[in-house]
Amino acid sequence: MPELGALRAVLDALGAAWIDPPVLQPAELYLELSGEDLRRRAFLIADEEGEEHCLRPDMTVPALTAALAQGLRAGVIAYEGLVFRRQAEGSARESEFVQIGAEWLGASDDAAIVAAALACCEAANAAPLLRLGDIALVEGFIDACGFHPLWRARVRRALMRPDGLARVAAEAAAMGDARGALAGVDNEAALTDHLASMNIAAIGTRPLSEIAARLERKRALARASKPTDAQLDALAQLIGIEAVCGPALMQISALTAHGGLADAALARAALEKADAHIAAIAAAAPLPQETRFAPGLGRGLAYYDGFIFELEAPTLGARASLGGGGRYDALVKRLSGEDIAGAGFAVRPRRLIEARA
Amino acid sequence: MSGLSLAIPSKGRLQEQTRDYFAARGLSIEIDGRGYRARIAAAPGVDVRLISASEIARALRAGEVHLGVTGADVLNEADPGLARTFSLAPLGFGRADLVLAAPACWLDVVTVADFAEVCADQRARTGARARIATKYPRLARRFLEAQGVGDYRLVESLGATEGAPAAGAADAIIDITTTGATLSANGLRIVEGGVILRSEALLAASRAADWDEGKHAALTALLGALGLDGPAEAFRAACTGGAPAPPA
Repeated sequence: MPELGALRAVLDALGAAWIDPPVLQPAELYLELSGEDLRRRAFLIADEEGEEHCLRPDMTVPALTAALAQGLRAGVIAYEGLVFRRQAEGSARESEFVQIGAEWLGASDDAAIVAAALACCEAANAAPLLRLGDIALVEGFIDACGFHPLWRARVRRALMRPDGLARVAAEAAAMGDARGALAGVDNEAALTDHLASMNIAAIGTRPLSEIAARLERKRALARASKPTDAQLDALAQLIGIEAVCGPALMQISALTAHGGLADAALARAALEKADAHIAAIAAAAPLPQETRFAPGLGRGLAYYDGFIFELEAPTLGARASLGGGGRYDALVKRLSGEDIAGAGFAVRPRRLIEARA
Repeated sequence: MSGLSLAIPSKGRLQEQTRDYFAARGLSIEIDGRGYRARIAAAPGVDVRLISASEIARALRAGEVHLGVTGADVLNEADPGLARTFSLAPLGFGRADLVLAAPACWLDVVTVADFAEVCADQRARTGARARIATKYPRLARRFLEAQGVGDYRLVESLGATEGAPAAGAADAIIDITTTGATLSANGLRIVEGGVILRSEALLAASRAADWDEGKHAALTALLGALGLDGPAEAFRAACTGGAPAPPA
């Protein structure tokens, strides 16, 4: 594929150092990062000692791990290699394909990352559909809702799952349940006495102090005001928005007047930031026509915790991914144990060629 | 000879109950002295095979036998959603529930939503996911995903699963229980909403086996003798109109 040379040239122009991480990765690391769902999405192999490995399901984690092991703490790294994804029986999706991409360690600019990804598309003569997401805007709206502090983290956690708001409503119904929250059992000693009187053995590794503390939180939670339908509706509308950037921003602007938002100013401030963010990206590289904005994009995706984008080829069918990227500061922090930011992107060369304009 | 193969448990209480069930309907299963082979005098065309109960589910999924008697729990574990197998009839014995059980001393955990939150809290506090011991990893993953429990790891359990939390090898379990007495004895309690599957022994058919007109007719005759009218036709319809036959 002569186009590979053109793609490599884009990454070389970033001044990237090339990294060639192993195909076999420790399954333990991935299982802790992505959870048991990994077993459905990746190929796991046990060695003779019973130690589990997985065929790398992406390049991001292996490349970052290898770069950190080499002592890199800042700069751009690039990679090219096969990744392996288990597909549902009968699926036409590929279970192995090449990814080429780059990761930025340390401070970096979202606009430069999107520009590099678009330059890859251009180098391969592919005309992508670009979709932008912005979890920070969703966070801003959660703040604007003015949930009781005991509920905020619950709403956020539930909302970040792909099945989102149904889960929030279910939690609102279930977590106000104060059963088991025994009055007076709010410290380790009281809990120990209570368990003894009930003839229940204290087993397991969860500290009794933590159990007692959560009993107290449950009592407080049952008294606290629950998320209202109006609050949840405002969030449902926000994450349901996906449209060409201009109209999408108008829709969100209209949504800042929603009755479920206790503090509309917070929502407007978050929207201004999102607007400026999109403008900065558009200033760094001409965006494809019809570039779309979907604030809820990327919820539930493994590593991303901030800005995210996806490149698709509408000519290859619905949701045919050419690649994507975004920001995952928490991942790098976790891998390095240091406060290092991380962001990056990857594209699929074969798809780029198939999607040639 | 119809060539219809029927797998029954090779030993234990499940075999006794299977033989009682068939005998009560006039189809005595005779097993030879060494316990390797069996036949039904009243249905000589049926090739009865003695296979360990957990292997029967796998053999049904693989299409190695036409029919089998096995638990709904192991069948659903081997073949999620029963894509390659078909439940002809529940047999009314071998009842057990697959449940999520947590330490009884977790007084704050009443519902599965509580459990999900404790798992998330633990990950946030310690960085490690909660560990759940089970012999039913596929059913466990499906259930936990549907219930919004995300922050967990499964621990493969080979021996007595219910002892894992007390031994410090897991935080909770997903396992079979009949009376709950073993759970209690191990300091565990079923989480409310945590009954994953109400299991009993099933007579099941394999969609992946080589069915032809003669075998369908033999199945109709066998089920008729057992007093089960209807499931043979439903199975025939599922074979022709249902999901495409999986690749061999």
